[in-house]
Amino acid sequence: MTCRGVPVARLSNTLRKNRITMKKKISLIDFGAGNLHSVYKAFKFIGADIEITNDSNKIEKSDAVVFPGVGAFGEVMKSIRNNNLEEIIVKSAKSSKPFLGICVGMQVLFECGEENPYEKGLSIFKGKVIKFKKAKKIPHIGWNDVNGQKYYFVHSYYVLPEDKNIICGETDYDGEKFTSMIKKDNLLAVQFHPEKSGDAGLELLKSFIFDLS
Amino acid sequence: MLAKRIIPCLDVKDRRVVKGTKFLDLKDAGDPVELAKFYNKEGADELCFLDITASHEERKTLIEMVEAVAREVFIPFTVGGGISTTEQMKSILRAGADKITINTAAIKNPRLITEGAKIFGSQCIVLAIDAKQESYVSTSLRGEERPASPAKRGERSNLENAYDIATPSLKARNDVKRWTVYIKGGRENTNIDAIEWAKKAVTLGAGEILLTSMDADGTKAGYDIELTKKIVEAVNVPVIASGGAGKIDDVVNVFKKTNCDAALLASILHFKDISIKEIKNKLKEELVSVRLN
Repeated sequence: MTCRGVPVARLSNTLRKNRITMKKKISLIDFGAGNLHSVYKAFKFIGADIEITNDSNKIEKSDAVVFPGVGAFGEVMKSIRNNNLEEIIVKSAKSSKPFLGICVGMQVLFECGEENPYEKGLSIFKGKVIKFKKAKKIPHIGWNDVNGQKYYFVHSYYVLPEDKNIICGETDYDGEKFTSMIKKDNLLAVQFHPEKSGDAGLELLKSFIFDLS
Repeated sequence: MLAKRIIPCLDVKDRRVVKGTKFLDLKDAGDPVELAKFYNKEGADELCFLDITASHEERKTLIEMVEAVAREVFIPFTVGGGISTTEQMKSILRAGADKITINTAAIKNPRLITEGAKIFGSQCIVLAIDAKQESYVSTSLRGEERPASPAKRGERSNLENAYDIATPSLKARNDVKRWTVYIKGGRENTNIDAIEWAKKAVTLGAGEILLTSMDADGTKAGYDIELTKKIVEAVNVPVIASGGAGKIDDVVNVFKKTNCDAALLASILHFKDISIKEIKNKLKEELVSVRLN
């Protein structure tokens, strides 16, 4: 697992500098995402101390945040707002805390989705979320490459970041190249599902919690 | 490059995998979790559990099984068999399954596809089609004649959608080969054209098609290339080919000769001494994109 040639386990250098020795608490943000329990089970399986929560105080106090999501951009944003989670998610993503966005949890970090341009995203990054244009079969379902490693994808939309420096993984689907992984400081977001990507996915999650302990 | 998927299919009855796996060196070859772990290690890209009893009482044990598998195996898996409401879909997906396959219920009530796709997303709804080539004598039916619908009067309103597509294709069937959709585990012919139904189901919201050729199923003579090709060309969602695999070359063939996305394997894995690794190595040799772990 590498990011532009750098193993993901070595990505969070900033974190390593502030290494804390105690076992740390991870908040898994609950706004009713379909993959919430799968993500939870995968973290539990690798021995992480993770808690499903929609309590802003708990999220604030935790050492790392995981932000899952499946479905439509607009629907996910609505659930986030209905659960009053917008503020804490933005705060966590911008903080020095390790933050992992998965699938639509990556997409809503951007400004807006193509399917409904009036539904604003969290706008942590500039750019929009667009639908596959060239690909003949949509959704993009199955195992595809990110920096030479195969992960499991299920999606019809992908992010188009304005700041190309945050792109740290790209994937080709049917001749259409898209951003499948972004990283900025302690924020990592992936379009694929590490919780469903077998050993490769568990390794990625391990490298995320490795940086915590 | 997107990998072609190899999907072992496990028949489940009362929380146990039936259709044994006699050659596997497992403590308990009927335990779904053990088997799921085994196939995951072997390189399965996905798993498919078909509940072959699926009575109301057994639904609870199915949910427990899904939960148990999801706790220990981290590749996608599909669950099917007798699912007919979005409530049932919800409980299975919440327990940790990634997709639901529906067949009979979708024919009886095509809106189930749309409702399921709306609530859970198209990617969760896999339409299973059991298709059989029609043994048809052209003089036995007039072109415009409608086949006898198995529907009871009371069911008509729900059936309209699915059965209506039987008509146009019937007119053209003098010169074209035709496959019809069977439901209830292959016991009942709906007379619905399989290709038209696949197209319709995708417009209704199906995110994938699991296509089983009843002609090829059980023959071990290879996949039905012609039918698979036709369905793949008719829809813009992934197609999983099923039925007929008896040797490694059959799997190679279906990927080389059609643009299907995945191959579902049952007896070739369960009864024969062929491993997923061997299949994938051969596919790689033949330049088919696969995931090797």
